[in-house]
Amino acid sequence: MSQQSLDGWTADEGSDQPDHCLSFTVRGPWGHFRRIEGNIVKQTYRIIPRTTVAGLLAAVLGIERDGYYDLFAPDTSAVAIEPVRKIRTVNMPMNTLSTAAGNLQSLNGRGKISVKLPDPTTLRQQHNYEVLVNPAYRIDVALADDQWYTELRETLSAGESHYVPSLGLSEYLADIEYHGEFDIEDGPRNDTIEVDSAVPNAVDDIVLDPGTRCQIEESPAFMQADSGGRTTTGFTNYAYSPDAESLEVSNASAASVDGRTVVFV
Amino acid sequence: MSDTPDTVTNRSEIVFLYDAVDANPNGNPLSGANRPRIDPQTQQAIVTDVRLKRYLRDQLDDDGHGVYIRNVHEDGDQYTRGELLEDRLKAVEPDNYDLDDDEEADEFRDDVFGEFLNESVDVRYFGATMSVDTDEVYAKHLPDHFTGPVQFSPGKSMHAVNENEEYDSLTSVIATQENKQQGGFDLDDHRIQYGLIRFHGLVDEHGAADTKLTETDVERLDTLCWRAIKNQTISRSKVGQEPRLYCRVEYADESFHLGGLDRDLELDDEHSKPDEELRTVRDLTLDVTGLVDRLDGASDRIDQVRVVASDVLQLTYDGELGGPAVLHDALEDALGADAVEKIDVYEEQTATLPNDETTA
Repeated sequence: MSQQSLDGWTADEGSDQPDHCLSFTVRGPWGHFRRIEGNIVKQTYRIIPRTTVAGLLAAVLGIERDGYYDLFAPDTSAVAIEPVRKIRTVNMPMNTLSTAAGNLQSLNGRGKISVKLPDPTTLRQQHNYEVLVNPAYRIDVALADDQWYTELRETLSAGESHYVPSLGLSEYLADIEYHGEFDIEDGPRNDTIEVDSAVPNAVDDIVLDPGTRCQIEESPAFMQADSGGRTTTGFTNYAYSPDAESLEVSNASAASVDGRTVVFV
Repeated sequence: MSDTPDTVTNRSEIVFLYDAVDANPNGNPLSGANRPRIDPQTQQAIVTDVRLKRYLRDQLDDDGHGVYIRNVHEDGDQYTRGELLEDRLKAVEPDNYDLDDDEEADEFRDDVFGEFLNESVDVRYFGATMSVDTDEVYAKHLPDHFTGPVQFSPGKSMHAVNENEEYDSLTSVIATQENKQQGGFDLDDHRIQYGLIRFHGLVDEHGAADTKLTETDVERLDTLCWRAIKNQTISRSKVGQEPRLYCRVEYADESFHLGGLDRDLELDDEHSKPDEELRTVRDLTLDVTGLVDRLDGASDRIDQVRVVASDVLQLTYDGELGGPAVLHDALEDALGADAVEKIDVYEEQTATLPNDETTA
């Protein structure tokens, strides 16, 4: 299914906005999207990173790891993410086996194949995971690849998923609620608008309101496969309300989906 | 990995409840006194998936299955799983395989990891982390980790819990090392008075082929979860825990599961004491209406439901109050008698023990 068609991706010549998308809510009792700059304390992103959304949908479609990065590339996909529950975290300390080089059991180091495994008989290390409690995100997604888009629509509307969906770690099992396919219309064009989704790359354009909390975080957005697996090729800087409220933004080029105002990236 | 004939082909969704009376179902190792993990906002007790999997692995070990992730290195000349894998690595000559041929590539993978997986039942369930270091040509035919096809979310109590403060005086009674008379500092013993813990699990039929998870492995879960809580909750802070309800829904169609079945169970407020007064299983009643009705709605996509409940658990379905029979009858009405099976834990478990023919 590598054939790609741009039919139906955009309504008008020259427009870079797709004209329809699929919309669903993903939620679960727990979530952990490990921040790349963390070390001993495993901190989590508050907004599910765009790369994680891509991985989640690849799992729904049954695409293998390292097999879906082109499908979700910047010029062939659009994703908007809206937190729909207040964002809360707890600490989940874990005793884990170390995977540091010195603590691995190295098997057959001289042969053509060697395998390194954590030594299961050693003492555990204590790590503090910051985990999201009851995270829930409404996600709108458009894909230029017609075949995969159609397959995704059929899979989601049947309530199916090839692999079991999860939120960041395989044990944080997730549920997906499909809302349907919607037209992407132009959003409001006022000087300042109320945006329901997390707002990408608009840090300077947020109109700060004393009654609304606003936080900022930068997370991986795009990946490319390479010989060693994958490389992050782009980041998004999201502004979002941790209370799952809308944010007031100036100069935003927003879209309207199902009566909501969202910004795609 | 090549599909063995009996690799599991159906997805299953599991709901598992057990309770803790005057116990610490899962301590928080970073809290100093190993206090129970409690959600600070809702006061629900939390039990990690890691804690549950430890009980399951210990039970598998006791039953004589090969278990890779173990706490202690046992004395004697017991073959470790690592040594076993190392022997395979030495025996396998990758150049003897035509890796462009799919069948031979599968065989290559099976020759490297097959026996390790056969001998490591916990890896078949829960996966393993590893890194493979080899020529790129070979590497792309070998997995760099095993994702567990069986996943449990960390569990939570179905109600707010109280911490029992009566055991604080244990400080300085417990010597921390042999021949050391002085007691330890900060060894307070914190427990919860009562908690009914709810777990949610899934068996991913598409992930199953990677670790060679078999139908027998999945059937074993039906007795393993129950027996693990019965038999492995033996340390000082873990006694007082009992399994109360286990339900595995096996779906008929590929790629489909209802999801979040655990949340369809709730406490029946009318027949349960308030959260702060709960002390034993007899103080509460479980309302199974939501679960049964949801399964009813998807009855054409369900192959079977296997269920076992504690005889002292009180349940309601649609206002009808009673013991486990209430749930069983309601499920039979919803799904048909053929689709509902009671699990006889102690009758069945012998069939899933290792024997001479199946090594693990």
